[in-house]
Amino acid sequence: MANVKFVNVNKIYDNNVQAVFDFNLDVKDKEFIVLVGPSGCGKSTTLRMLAGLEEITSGEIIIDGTVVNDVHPKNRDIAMVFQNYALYPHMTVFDNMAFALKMKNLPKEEIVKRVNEAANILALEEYLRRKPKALSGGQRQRVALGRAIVRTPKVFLMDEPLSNLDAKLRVQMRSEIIKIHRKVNATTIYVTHDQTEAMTMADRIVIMKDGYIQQIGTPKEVYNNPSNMFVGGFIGSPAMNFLNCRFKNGELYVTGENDDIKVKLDESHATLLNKYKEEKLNQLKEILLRIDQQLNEYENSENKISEEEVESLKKKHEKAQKANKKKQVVMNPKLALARHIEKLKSYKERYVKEIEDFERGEFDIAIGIRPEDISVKKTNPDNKDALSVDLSELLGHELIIYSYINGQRLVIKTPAKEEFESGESFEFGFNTDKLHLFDIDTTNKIAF
Amino acid sequence: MCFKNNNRTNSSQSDKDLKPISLRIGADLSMKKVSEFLPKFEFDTFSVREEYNEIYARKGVIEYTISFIEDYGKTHISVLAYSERHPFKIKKGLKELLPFMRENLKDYLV
Repeated sequence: MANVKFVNVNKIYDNNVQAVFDFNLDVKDKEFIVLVGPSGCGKSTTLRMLAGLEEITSGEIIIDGTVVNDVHPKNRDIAMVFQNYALYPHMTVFDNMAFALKMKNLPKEEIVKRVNEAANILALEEYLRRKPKALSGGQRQRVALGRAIVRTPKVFLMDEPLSNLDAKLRVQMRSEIIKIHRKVNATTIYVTHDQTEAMTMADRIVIMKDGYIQQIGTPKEVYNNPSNMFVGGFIGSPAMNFLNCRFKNGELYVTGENDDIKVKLDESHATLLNKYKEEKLNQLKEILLRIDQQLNEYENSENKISEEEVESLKKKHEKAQKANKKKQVVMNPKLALARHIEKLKSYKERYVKEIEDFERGEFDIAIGIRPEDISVKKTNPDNKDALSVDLSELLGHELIIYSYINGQRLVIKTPAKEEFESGESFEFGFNTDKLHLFDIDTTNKIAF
Repeated sequence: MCFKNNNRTNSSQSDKDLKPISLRIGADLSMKKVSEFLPKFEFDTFSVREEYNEIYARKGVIEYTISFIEDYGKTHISVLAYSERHPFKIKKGLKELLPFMRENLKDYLV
């Protein structure tokens, strides 16, 4: 078995689209890692780079201490299971499973032994003589798994192997794959877009978005302590609620028409926000300093032009643009610089205002709260702190309440002991221990 | 002429007997009920694969795979009959087994 290491791996396709950015991951021996994220986040590309099916643009992939960047896929000692099974339709189940072993020129007795062992694990003994078309979807996927198992590879790669199965079978196969992993004890890297699959199967989850790793952690860690708003929203169903809030006079208020909806904070949050304020002030001042430096450089440069000159250049540019409707007219460098300066000045204005706000102790943040961390209690409509039920969904033992707080969507998950009809009023309370605070600009969790 | 060596229950089958069986009980209970009465059909081989919600059985030249798929509290039973050498017997085999199953599961049919 093996450990796998990705070091600063990047992938840029021929059309200049970068699918994976600076991917770093250390997979321990026998670990079950799940790469999860929405379509186009680079998870399959990462897996295919490890398999050798995609070339790496830069970085290193190391299997058991050996850099495999230039090693042929067949020599990497890894097995891959695909979503569409990729079985040979003209071969029997036995031949499908034995194919790779025959290619390796293994003795016939050894091939029969290994295939029978895998068939036994996967309850496929009776189907060995059949061709894939005489099997159900679940059985075909078991054959695909068996084909990987017989090779006893260093690393198992699985690319959405359960996506073609129906919901119930998917749940069954999920637990079977975990059992097989424990039995075979191979390092496994599994790709899925299904967060439930990731949460239930993984030792550690790697959450990806737009080619970047967002967070790496155990299912519990990523659920309880999301590193940013994307992770908070992606993991968990229904998704985490995010509310824009303003911190002023030492209190946190939900942003909206009504400016007196307070969010109760505990002492640790208050300390955190004070630290955040200091940190953010330093950052903003640093940015402002850089803007000032750039503006000063321009003021003292030879390229400085008068406002009249800028206006005349603007008019010329607009005229040229009108004359060449379809073509992009190259801008006069002087005008481009003037526009850049205009932008810098507007940024400066924004940052000065933000710094003033922060110095006064007033700033915007986002809070995240999971639907199950909100308590509800029926109340009469006259209660000024009450919210109204927009919609409720009964899911057997749980009730999902959809509501709005100050114009912002709030989803609540509560035990279905009590019914809440549309239009009914209720009081709510956030579990302060489970409140997450996020920077509204970077969307990162506020933590020190 | 090459005959298809398998036939399975399918909701688009024109023959009523060959449509899947749907029960209003969960998959685990359905499988328990089926495994209680099915041996009466006198199979040569009969094995229950609980982990895959699947029963494998063989009678004469026909092999049957019975799969239980749960869907919102209902269970759909899908039966696949297979015979490598006697493909012309599989439809007959299915048409014998399915009514027998329906009769024994009549209290739970949807």
